[in-house]
Amino acid sequence: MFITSAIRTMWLTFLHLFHKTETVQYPEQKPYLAPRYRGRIVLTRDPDGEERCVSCYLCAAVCPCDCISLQRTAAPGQWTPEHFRINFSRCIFCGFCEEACPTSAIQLIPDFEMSEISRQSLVYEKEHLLIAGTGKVPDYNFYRIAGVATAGKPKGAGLNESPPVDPRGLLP
Amino acid sequence: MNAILLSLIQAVAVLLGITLLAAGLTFAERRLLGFWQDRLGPNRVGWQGTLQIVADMIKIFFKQDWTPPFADKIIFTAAPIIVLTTVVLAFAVIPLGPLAGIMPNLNIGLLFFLGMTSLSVYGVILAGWSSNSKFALLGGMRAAAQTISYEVFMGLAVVGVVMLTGSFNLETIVAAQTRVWFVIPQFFGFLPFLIAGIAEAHRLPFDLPEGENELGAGFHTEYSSMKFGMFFIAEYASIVLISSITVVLYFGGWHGPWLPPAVWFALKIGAFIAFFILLRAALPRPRYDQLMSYGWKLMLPLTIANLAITGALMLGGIE
Amino acid sequence: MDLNHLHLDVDRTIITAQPGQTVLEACLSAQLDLPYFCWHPALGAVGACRQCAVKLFNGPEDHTGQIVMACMTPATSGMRLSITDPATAQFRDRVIEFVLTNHPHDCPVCDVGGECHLQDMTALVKHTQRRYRFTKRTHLNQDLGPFIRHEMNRCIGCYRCVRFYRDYAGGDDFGVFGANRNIYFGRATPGTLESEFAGNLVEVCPTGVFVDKPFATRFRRKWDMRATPSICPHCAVGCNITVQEREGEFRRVVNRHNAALNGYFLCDRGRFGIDFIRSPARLRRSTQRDAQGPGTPVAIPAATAALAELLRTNNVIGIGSPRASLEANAALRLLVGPAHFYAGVSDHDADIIATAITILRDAAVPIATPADAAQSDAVLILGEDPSDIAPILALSLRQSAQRPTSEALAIRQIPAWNDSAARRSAFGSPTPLIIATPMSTRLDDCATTCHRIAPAALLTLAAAIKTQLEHPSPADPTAIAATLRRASAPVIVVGGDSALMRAAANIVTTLRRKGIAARLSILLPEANSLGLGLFGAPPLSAALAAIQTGTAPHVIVLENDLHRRCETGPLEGTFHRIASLSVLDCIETPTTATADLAIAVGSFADADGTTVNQEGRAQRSFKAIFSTDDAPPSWHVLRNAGIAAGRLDATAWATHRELIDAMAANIPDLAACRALWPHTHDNIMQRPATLPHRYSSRTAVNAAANVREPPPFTNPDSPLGPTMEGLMPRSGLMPHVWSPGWNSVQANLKFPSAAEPGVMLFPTSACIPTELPLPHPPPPAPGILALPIRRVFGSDELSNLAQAVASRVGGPILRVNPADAATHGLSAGTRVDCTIGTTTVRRAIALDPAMAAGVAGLTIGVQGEPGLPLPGSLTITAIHPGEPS
Ligand code: SF4
Ligand code: SF4
Ligand code: SF4
Ligand code: SF4
Ligand code: FES
Repeated sequence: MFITSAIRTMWLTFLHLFHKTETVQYPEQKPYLAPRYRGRIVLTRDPDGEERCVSCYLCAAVCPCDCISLQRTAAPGQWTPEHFRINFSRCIFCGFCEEACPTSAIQLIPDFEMSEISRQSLVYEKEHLLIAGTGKVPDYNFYRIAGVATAGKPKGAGLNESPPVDPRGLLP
Repeated sequence: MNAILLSLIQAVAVLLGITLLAAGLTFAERRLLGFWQDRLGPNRVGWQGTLQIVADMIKIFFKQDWTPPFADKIIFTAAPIIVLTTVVLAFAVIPLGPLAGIMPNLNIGLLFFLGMTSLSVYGVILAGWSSNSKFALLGGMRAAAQTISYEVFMGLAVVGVVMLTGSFNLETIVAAQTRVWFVIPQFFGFLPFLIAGIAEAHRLPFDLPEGENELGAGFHTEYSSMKFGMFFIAEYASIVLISSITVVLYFGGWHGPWLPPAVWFALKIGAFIAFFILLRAALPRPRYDQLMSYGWKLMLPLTIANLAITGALMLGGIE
Repeated sequence: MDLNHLHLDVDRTIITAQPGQTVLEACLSAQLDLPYFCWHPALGAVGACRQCAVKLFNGPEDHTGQIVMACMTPATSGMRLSITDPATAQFRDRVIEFVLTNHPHDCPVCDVGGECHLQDMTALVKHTQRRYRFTKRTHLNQDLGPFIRHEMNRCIGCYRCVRFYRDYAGGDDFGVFGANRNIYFGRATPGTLESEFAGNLVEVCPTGVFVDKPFATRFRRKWDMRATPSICPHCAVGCNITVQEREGEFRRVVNRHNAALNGYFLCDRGRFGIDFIRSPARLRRSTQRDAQGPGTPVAIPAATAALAELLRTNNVIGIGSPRASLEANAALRLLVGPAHFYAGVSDHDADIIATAITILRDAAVPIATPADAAQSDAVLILGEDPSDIAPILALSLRQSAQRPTSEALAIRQIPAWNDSAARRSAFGSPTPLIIATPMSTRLDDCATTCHRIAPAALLTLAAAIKTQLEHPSPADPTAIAATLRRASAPVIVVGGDSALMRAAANIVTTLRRKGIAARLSILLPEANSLGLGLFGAPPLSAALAAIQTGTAPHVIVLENDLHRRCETGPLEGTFHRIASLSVLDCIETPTTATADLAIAVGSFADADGTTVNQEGRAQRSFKAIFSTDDAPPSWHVLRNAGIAAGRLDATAWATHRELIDAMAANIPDLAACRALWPHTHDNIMQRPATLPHRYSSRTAVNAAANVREPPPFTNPDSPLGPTMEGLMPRSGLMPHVWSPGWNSVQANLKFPSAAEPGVMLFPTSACIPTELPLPHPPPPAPGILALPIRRVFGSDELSNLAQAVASRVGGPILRVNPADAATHGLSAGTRVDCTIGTTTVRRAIALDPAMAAGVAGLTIGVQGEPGLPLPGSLTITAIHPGEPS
């Protein structure tokens, strides 16, 4: 019966001669790219316009191609990256980095037109990656939820936080 | 003197024709595959992509012709030549029309064809061995095993036709089919022959010697540029070869009503070529052990039974 | 069945346990995953966190069972337990849910994220959803000094920090405040944590409350750093450390468990001092004096060629160093010949080292490891304060004093792991810790008796103890001999004076004769003092004398700052007599500044090396930092120069191993170092991998410079693999300690016997040690007798260069007793100029009421000061009362 199934398969395949083709004639015709399309990677900013990336190194750790490199700044209490580099000549646009990012800083956008003549030009630094907006996540601000104090947010001023306790108080 | 000159001219014409046909086939196959898979296939170079062949040829000629330092240089170079030569040589005995062909009247024509197809596998094995890489070697080994297995019943399958005509001469065989094509009495010879033919040409679904997904590119993994091109052309030439020989043996060669014989011959061959491409579009590759068991456990008994029945019928006096 | 082991049935699997273990320890050693917070192998169990709940069944018929805390339940044979029991699992889940109600949303910006015990335990109990919807309590942080940053919001109230800081390390400036939900762990007022063991809080705390501050400036996750087993270069205890590196840059040091030495802890000099590797004072470029003037930069090959040029002459002397590895010293000695090799230490240090070798090797006196010291039932400290010279030894001594011995606990039927009960039971009957030193020590607070005696009287005391031991008489004013005689495993700690060391060795010998398993611990000044001593080379003064008398030689100085070793006068008096001065060093020193040829070599972390600690334990450290920088190990430079000069065969010491063989052939005492090549595999895949398996960014790290990836590093000298490829050994050399699900440092509890113990060069033999003759005491010197004070922060050359340590170095002081101060008209804080030998230094007066009369303590190792001839007589030449202190 594999003979019959083979013949049936061939017949069905043959009928495709008369089907409409799916090919999109890029670049004359532009394909539709969903907002969640996994293309070029950007670093976004939070709603207050500050850099979102806190250099937690999670994207670098999860990247199957090991093509993200960053270093947290030396300045104490500041968690922005000193450098942030993506080697797009290695990236496979799997989107794992976006999945791993706890601050929604790193996002893949619907842009795949980034061919270059030399591989070296595919190495993007932070200034090439950082955009002015919030990307797909309009209102998340990690520091409003986190427990660390930042410039504009002292201890206890975060979301769902009580004011700092007085350890010398004897009341329960 | 004139006869020799005529043969030479015919030979050159056939050679050129085959090569061009094979090159053209690469394009035709890609377009057809495209359509069968709801794509367009190459359609950018020239009108509807027709110049794609030229582009590909330019590309393949200008690619770096790299011989791996670890390869056996002489054999590595000789292997594609052997493959292409044997395939092209086999065309010598194909009758292209009444009195057309290089040497259609050869009295061992069919044996010559079988010999040439068997020789071509040496090229493949040598390519695999001389590449000195494990993928290539595995591809070569597969080719050897596959060819041995399928050649056995290919030979046995055509014996039915030989028995019916009493000749190895292909022209005689064609001539014997004026009344009825041999595909009717010899259907169970035709089927194994066609399958074996596909296997000999290493076409899908029997392209295990190349097996991209497990062997890189099988026996020609290490080949590039025109050395690879020769394998490539040889593969398409052998499609044409297998199609023509099938037509000659089972479909009445150039016989047919109304139209001129050459046209009939071309039409029949074209249909088989299209069938080969459809096979590629439709069927997956079997597992290697499946391939072997089809050959030995199904096809071989079938051909032997066919032979026995044909023989019995002939003894019984039924033509 | 093995009767020394207990057999427990945990979820129908039989596991084995050692007698005296708790159920928790037994489960962890059997590689079972059981969450816990408050238990710590060194701190014991208090059963505070309720996280380690397991179900205990009372026999085979019991199907209900009861929930018990694994850390508070002694393992007994035939016990039937369940970890997976649903009720228990739910119990643990609820505990962690409570713990996390107030826990901040910090992991991405938390420095322990990825190596956090709390993260691991949360994942282990599979707690995934937060149900608490109310506000979280928050805390203000304190400034805790240059080493540690405080992030109090993350605290889960496990009490490990106070139990370590106060109970274990004896600190009193850190504690717990507030009540219930408001509980706060910190200082009464913000300020630097005073204990020199404060850095351990980073590893002791199961959360990210205490952050390694210097590391935070060049932060990386644990999974991103190369980890290499190494040995701390800052003192003679030789603590085992793990050096972590990333992209050719040193990042931090973490503890490497070694049961005999440092256990689970390090001192802050070791943890934070190794940052000297990043110091601006590192010698980064080799320089040569030439026509263009001094300090013209040269590349290493040119510098090596210049060194080879010198070696072609016959008149070369080499000066070794106690901070260089055995390999480097051996290479120099083999190159210049034993007759021209000098040890590069002061006469006093050389005397102490030689005496230590006599005691260890010739007299075969059994030596106490820090672990022995922690277990001893009586301690006598003679001469010097171990707190500053050998901090980890002092920490162990503190344990012996603060906790009853195991015998005492056995009598009271308290298991050793029951920390709180054990400590309480020590009240009223403390383990004797007797301190006899000229000045007060930082162990005084836990001592039973302190005697403040001048050095000469100390010798008399030591002799008296010995006499008392041999012929007990009722007139024993100090009762020290009686205490020692009652003990079963006393430890004598001695340092600072060779005669005293001999006397102390004789006390141990006498005790041994009486069948008491006494041990000696000798305090030595530097990491490889003993190793250098084993070469038997004459001290620096002999080198200077040789230079003075002979024809002007070429001098090669190995990783040594001669200015710290002797006074400026004699040193500079000889400099004009030498043909050229070549220095190989990893830091800029006054010596490299005056050198004709200064060669920048790698630090201990850039090279494979061996050091010998004060017990005579030879330990390997491995190349930990891989960068394209030009910092070869000194012995590579010496070898290449030797080959170029024709002093060595072209194939000499092709590998580290061959150098060790050559060294062992020359110095029989060091032959045992050959055993320090634990696994030799030509196949790199069989070597322990130093990069963790999650090491990231490999294809982007160098991409800014060149998008093509460079080939991986190789290092034929080391048995470790420099890449990610290789083994993850379960014991022996374990570069990074990790077990599935256990990403924090607590993973080391899964491998309790993993440490590489090193090789004892002088193994303790069963025979009775030999008694040593005592030298005649020197005539008393006129004036005040100045004794050196070595400080944890400030007296060690290398660690002082680390920025954080440098900020902890106090001002230089002169410590005198108030009576002596009054005689000279001095008061606390007064600045004085004091002259020792020919050198005058300025010090601030510090009063020590307990100090022996006629003795002064002088801080040494002050950056920029020459070496002082201490102990020696001191005169106060000027007083500056008006200056602020
Ligand atoms: S998309 Fe995938 S491959 Fe590309 S940077 Fe992100 S994690 Fe790496
Ligand atoms: S995961 Fe997000 S926040 Fe973390 S380092 Fe990457 S981009 Fe920055
Ligand atoms: S202590 Fe652990 S769980 Fe808490 S924020 Fe830090 S990494 Fe996360
Ligand atoms: S600070 Fe750390 S060690 Fe101390 S109680 Fe809190 S979580 Fe435990
Ligand atoms: S570890 Fe057992 S109660 Fe804390």
